[in-house]
Amino acid sequence: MTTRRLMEELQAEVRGGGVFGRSAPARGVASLLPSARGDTGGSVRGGDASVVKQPAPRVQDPALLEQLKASTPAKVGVGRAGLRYRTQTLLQFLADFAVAKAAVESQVPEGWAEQQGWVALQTAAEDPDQFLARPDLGRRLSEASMSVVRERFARDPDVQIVVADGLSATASMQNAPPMVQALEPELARRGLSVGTVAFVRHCRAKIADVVGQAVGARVAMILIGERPGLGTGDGMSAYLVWQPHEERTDAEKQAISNIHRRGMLPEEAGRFAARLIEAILEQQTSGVTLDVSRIEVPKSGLSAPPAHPAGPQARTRINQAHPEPLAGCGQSHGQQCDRAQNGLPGAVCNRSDGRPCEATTY
Amino acid sequence: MAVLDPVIPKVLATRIIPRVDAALGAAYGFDGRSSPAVGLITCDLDDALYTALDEATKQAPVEIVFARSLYAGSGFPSGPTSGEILGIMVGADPDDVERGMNACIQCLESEAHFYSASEDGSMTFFPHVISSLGYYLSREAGLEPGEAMAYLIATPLEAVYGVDAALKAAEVRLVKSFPPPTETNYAGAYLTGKLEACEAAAQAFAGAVVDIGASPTRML
Repeated sequence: MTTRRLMEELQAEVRGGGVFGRSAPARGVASLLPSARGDTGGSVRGGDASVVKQPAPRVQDPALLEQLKASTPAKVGVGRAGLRYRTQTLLQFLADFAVAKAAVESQVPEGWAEQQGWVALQTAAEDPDQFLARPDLGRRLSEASMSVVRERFARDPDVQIVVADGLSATASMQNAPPMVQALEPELARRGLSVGTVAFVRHCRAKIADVVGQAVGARVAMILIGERPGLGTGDGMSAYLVWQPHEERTDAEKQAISNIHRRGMLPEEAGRFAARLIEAILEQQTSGVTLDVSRIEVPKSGLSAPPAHPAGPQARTRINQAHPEPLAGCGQSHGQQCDRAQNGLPGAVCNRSDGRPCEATTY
Repeated sequence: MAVLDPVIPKVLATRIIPRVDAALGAAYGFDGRSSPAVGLITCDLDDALYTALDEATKQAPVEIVFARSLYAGSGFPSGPTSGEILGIMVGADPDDVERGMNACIQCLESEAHFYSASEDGSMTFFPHVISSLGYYLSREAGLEPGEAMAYLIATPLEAVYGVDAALKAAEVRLVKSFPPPTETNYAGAYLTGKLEACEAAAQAFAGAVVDIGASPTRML
């Protein structure tokens, strides 16, 4: 429809210029015409450069582009077929989206918390669907769980640890046990007492305040599975707070994010958390008012380049085996060899005459 | 009809021959044995159909083996279904040809339009931008499939004046020129460049043609 749009633009211009004169073109049309001296400028309308769109920038350094693409699972520089994604991009997108959905739908199995030696609790949300639909219920403990906390939990600990499924049970199950295991000896070495470790099902980050307040902890820490991103469903975060109570705001929380195998390793995060807890207790505050300038940050974590050669989040793309559509498949028109598009390893389009492959339209 | 309103082409006759006679195929310049299915189409606007046939090659595995404008144009046809062009596409399979024909008809209905250069619609022209060439017109123009092309056609004087304006309006180059007289006595040119440049060129071409339509006998 590109020509139709161009002509409609022009039509509006012509109408704006009024009736055509006999002796001279109306202003509207005159401004459309190049001057008689042979104006070779890029503009159609009397110097209004915005009319002629700039072409898309060309890649000056293809190697740099490849490096950038390899550093992220995000779909950048993936090209297109007409106005659409290429099929391999779409398939990758669907696969990544499925990872995120599976993470949200994942559940911690019954008995898992007890195996870790933790006490299992539940929020007021009764099932996963209600948990997703009612954030408020995920911020309150159920009556039964609340009485467990009051009756069985150690009182007045220095540190109350809460493990939560959050929006990715997979993330918690992978990362919380090693992090807690790394953290506990570090706290013991500093002479700090750790309360009864809780695992809370259907849980949001606020529960750290609830449990911490109920037991009278000096610092509460929650380890929670994060909202998955596209293709990343295993990220966990830790939030720490000084003197937990229900009025604490997010600004008063200390966060350690991206705890997973490609980000900050859970073992390192445990040791980092111990240093943070020490500082929180010393400065008697947490969040934006905490001075973290003298705290050592793990190398593979927040600011340093990744220790892993493939980059922090590089994953195998679905079509690694067949990354580019082959020449001769007519791919510039959105018609690629369908075998190539499906990306089956080793499937090769044999056509080399520049004609579209036979099973190509959809 | 107002100036720059679209003039939508009419498809006048269509047929598919599932298995064409080999000798007839040879007469029309293709091998009747290897590509037995044939689609025939006539239309009242030749350049619109050339464009639509090219679109068909992008959407189906068909080849355009014959496309010729007919003498005197659609104002003086030899019959009610003659129009001003006959197009023939071939494919390995009648289904392929049917897909190609449908793509072609769809393109005529929605995209490949002439435009009126005058208030009464008596003067029409074709300032068409093809964002991505198919296998047919790229071959005709000597360009690569996928390149952008401005397909600029108008009545004789307008075509000369308009193509000059188009060439000066943007970074485009003249690929092929069609000076009059032609079968239909229209004239014009193929221009190529980046898509944006082709768009700018087509607008400049249209502006020039419309200007002549409004006041034909000025000097400058």
